Amino acid sequence: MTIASQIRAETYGADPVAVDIRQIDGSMITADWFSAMVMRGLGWIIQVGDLTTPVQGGGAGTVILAQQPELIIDIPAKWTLIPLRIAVDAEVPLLAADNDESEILMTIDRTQINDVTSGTATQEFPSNMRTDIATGCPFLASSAVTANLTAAPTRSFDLAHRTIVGDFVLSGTPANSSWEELWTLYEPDNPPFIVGPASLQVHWGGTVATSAFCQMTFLAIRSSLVTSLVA
Amino acid sequence: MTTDTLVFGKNFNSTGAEVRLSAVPDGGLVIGSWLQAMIARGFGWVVQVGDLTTPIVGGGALTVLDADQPELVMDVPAGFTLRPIRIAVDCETPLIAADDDESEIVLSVDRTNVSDANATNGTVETVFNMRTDIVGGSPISVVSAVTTNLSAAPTISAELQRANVVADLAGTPVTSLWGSLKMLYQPKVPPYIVGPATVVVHFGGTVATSGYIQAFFLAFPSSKVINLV
Repeated sequence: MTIASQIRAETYGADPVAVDIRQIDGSMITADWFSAMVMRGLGWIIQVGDLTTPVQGGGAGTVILAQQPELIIDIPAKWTLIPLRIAVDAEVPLLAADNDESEILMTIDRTQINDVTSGTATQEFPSNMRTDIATGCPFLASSAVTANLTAAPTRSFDLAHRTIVGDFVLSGTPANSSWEELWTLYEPDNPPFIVGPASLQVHWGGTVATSAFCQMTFLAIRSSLVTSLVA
Repeated sequence: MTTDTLVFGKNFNSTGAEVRLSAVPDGGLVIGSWLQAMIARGFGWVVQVGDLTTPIVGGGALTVLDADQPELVMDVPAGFTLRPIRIAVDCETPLIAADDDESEIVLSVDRTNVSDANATNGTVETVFNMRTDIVGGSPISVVSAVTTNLSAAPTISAELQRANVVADLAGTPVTSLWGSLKMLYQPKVPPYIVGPATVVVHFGGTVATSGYIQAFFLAFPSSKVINLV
């Protein structure tokens, strides 16, 4: 005997409703967990840089300095950040010398928040990836930090690192030199869970002044969703 | 007759409570990635090579690749399995010295042995959990910047990925240019590297090549897979 059964599952509404699971041509329709979280309002997007004006990177406007990131997000206790996508597009200037370098670094301090409002910086306000939600991101964020943060980030591990090295060509003068474009995209298939208190920093800079734009999307969820899980 | 069945799944928490599965409003069942669930449960790990703005120099004698002196070596002990989920290498290539200079990156696996790499060979790296509230406990030991030959040289069973650049002088070394050297291994279906085994990353070239590495992987008891038929 075959028992026909219509599979049903509950929606995420305040008053969950059981809905019929659909199919097409014999295939069950499914939705990605991360996309469902974005649909529920747990996804956020933040940008650094203005319409045509990037942020100059580095500590004193040149080489990367840990205490002066170009983007920093504090993740307080009881909250977890899941990075979905971080894109940085840099503008590299004329070379000053052979072996000049510019780089982009995305890194995590898994131990603490870094008081993002303590340095001289621009406070950033993440927008929700579901655009009818106006505010409410649980994370504080700052860009263009130009005075040291009071709580210097401890670099636990990097998410991505990209470097280019310059090389004079032709007549060997800065006006006749060339190097590649500098950009990086961190869009992992399986991102880490950054459990607060912690912070995420994006740096760019180099031996020559390097400016850039950054766009980042991430999920912000209650840590209890993951910290109660066991191996 | 058709019956309605509300679908449940058991949670991964200590009680294994049954939880109703969820749907998006138009009737799509919400699915979570198995790999992502493993990471949420604490099976995901990450390790990096290179400092804030200081890469390590690759190669055996700091130039050409040497199998005995990898830039990253991950020992997978017996009883554990490693699944590489994202390994990124970003190199800095120096000025060219001659036509046809080359720099390269190789990611490979020795499926037969652990290398026994330790502090006498290179730098012992700290491995972090991808769920950052979990501290320590990686079953995979990792050593970078190996400059003293490994006692058990890796036997390459399989290469997972490779990248290289070859230089062409436009005139003299100071008026030359070559492309960037980088590699991203992020497979849709990663292999199961069952211990004892070793995963190694090499980079280097005919000119000194420096680089950074970020390696993300799962590590879990081999018993989860070796009984499958």
